[in-house]
Amino acid sequence: MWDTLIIQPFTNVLLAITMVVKNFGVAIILFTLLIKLITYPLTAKQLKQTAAMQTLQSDPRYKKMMEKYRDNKEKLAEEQMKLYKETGVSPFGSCLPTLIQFPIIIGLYQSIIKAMAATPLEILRLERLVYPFLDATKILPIQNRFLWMDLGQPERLPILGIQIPILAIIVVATTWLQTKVMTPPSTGAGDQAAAMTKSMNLYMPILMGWMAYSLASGLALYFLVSNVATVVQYSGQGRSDWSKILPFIKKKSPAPEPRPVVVFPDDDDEEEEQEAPKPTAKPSARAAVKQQRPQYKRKK
Amino acid sequence: MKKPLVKIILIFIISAALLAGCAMGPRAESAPGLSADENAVYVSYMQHIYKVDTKAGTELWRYPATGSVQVVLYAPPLLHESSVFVGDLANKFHRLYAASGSETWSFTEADGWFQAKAATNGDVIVAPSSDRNVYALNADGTLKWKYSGEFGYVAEPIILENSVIVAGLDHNLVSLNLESGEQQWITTLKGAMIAAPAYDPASGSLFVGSLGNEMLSIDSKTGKVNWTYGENGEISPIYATPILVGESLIFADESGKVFALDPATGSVAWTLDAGGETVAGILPLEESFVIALEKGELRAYKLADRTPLWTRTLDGKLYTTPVVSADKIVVAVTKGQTLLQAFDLAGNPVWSFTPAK
Repeated sequence: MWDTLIIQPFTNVLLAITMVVKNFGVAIILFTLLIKLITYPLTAKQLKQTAAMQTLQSDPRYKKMMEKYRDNKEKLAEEQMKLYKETGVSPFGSCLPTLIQFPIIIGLYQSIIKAMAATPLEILRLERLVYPFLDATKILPIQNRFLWMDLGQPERLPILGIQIPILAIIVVATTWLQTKVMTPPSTGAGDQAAAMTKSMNLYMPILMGWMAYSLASGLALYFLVSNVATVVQYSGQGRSDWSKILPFIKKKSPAPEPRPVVVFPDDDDEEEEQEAPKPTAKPSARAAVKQQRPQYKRKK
Repeated sequence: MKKPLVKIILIFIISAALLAGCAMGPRAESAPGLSADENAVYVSYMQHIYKVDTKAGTELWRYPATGSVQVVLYAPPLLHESSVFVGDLANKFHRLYAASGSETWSFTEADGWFQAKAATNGDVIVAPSSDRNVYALNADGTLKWKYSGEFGYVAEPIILENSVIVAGLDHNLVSLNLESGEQQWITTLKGAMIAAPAYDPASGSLFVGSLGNEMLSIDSKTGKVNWTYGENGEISPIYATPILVGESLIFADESGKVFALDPATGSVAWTLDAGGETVAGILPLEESFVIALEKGELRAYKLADRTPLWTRTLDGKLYTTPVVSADKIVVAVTKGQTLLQAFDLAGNPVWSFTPAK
């Protein structure tokens, strides 16, 4: 089922691109970009939802609510749900697109592995995956040579007699760049989450670098293109924070200032009622999603 | 040094050590490589090559003694006098003492895997690699010459007097001078070649099948094509070496159809439907032949009239050509409960071998 619906079509598209461009390395690059393009609506939705959630969590009133119901998890959950509903922010909004994208990414990865068949058994399996109209006879095996690399082998570039894993180093750099640029500023909403993000930012480049170092360079090429494409996608949406990498770039200004807002669907707190009308420096969650609608209606 | 920097370096070192511990070896998957002499079978699979006593089915030695995920072996071992030659997926080619399994030398200059069975005439060892090179080594393991093709090699070369014939994934069958490695002729086929050609010393012809749905007869001196069979879509891809039995050239294609051709003309003598997809080669016996179907069935037929003699079903897949040793048919099983299964010539199970952990 998985093979028929995901792996086989993906592998055949990859092989078809290879037949057209006559270069497996270029085909991996184009195929990765194609998949990124197809999944772009999902990525965009995920980014919007993440940003909305981020903005909501950085709201002082949200923090106050967290503080207030710290010892009453049930009530806190209830209040959070109310707030999510009121502001139109879905707590699972950023998860769903990721979940949908996940099999596509896995499929892409596996189809690249399948296409790089190097042993007789792998070639047999690949031959059986190829649709009849593509003519496996002409395609197989795939010419794995790309630039200085053999895409079926881990990459090393001999410089002055030393085997240097250039691609693995670039993968480490781009993974670090990706995590650095994309990591949203800490909201302070949960120190544990922030710490986790921080350690992930450290571990991910090491892990990806190690994989690029030890696996076939065709996969390392995919990691690299995927990283660069993700950074470009984020930058295209204006969500990347380059000031973290390049200090001379001005820190990104927040989203347009919302008008004074009454936000909370609060039920009982007099104090909050008084505080609510105060203008806030930070945008509301809704504002991040739909910048032209900075106001929420007071709950009646 | 600043504290955060020390922390980062420490984390990096620990991560590297942890990852090195579970370091990834070659990710390739393949079928066991099998060879045999009169008293033992040698099988390369995963982390070891095993020598197994054919009479008892017991392990005599394994190499390397301690397995490592970094070293994977699939190439069929080459047996020559008191030596075993075998390459691995860690880009090394080894010469071992057949009696003890201890290493005499290893060749480490290749940049790619050794999956093909090597060939030797005693003085020169020819070992093709997936790094697109065919390496010719002296008896002491030093490099004599190397020849570079367009793709990697998975087929066993064959040595004929002063030349060596190499079938490549690049669709090229080449003849190289055994002393210098100089190319003597090259013939391009429609498809990649996974298995070695068969050689008929009487006619000087080579017979080779490819993934291009074809079987060819080629003159070993000139590389000229004598005849081609399959041009009208009669056959599917061929993954194994054909066999010459009596007056026939016999081979099975992937679809499971067995063909017997006249080696001189390429005309069809007879065909047989084996009843399942076939990747392994055909094993000739005295008056019969055995065919291993991918689905795990071993079928024996009478050579004279193709009457079915017996069928045995194994747990696992069969991609490796069976061998005969001490009047036993030994089969290597892929993804089965056992690695080796031995039968007598009547098809009765004799022993099975599963490597101890």
